[in-house]
Amino acid sequence: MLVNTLMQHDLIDEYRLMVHPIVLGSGKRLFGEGSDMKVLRLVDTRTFSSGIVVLTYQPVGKEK
Amino acid sequence: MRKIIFQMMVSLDGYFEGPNKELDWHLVDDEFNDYASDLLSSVDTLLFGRVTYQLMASYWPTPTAKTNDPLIAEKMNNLPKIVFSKTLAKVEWNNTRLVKENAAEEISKLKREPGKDMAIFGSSDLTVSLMSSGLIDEYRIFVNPVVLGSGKALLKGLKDRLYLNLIRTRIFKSGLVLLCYKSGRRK
Repeated sequence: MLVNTLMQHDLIDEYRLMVHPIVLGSGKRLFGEGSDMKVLRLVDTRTFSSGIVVLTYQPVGKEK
Repeated sequence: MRKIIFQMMVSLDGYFEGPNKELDWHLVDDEFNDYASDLLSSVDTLLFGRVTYQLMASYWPTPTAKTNDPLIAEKMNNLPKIVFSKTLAKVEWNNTRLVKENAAEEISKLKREPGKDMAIFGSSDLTVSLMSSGLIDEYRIFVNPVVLGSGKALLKGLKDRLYLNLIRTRIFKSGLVLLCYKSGRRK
């Protein structure tokens, strides 16, 4: 996946993940299986009335 | 009726443990411990699957735990606990009862008895089986600001989709995000 390659090279500056209020039980994994461990910094959260939560992260050590 | 609260630490990519069972990425600090202490005061029974039970039973009664987290250790050690396992032969952690069969039936019965709410920490397999029986009332998911890349997936193996209601979020200074959901949303 493109995002894995970009993550490996520290080319992603911001991650915005939308968490939907549902448990699927099975399916495709986010970021694919087998990427490296990465610690991020939470910079923002936002909640929609639908129950979606938007989580925004940046890589640790990366300034805006 | 008493509620059952499920609580789990999870990585941003949805794993509850690393590929070698690592849990060292959990962001536990004073703010989290204050939250945990409040939660433990609001429940009167803790429910576990075998794996989580054994992990916790090997930590909370130790001098290390009593020195590092005295308040939490006291509550974890004193609260009544039930472990659901077909294979465990005996339980040694203080105030623990072993239930070998029919977890769902036992828990339905407990929910109808008077008392405070009950909590399940971790225990993914047990939780998935209880979810299928509609026995979990509240989900508290702690999203840690880390991508693990591989490991064991949260709540894997549920057969039908489960739609939830977001009831609350809380942001911790450490970057931990608590997402609280209630069961029962219609599609």
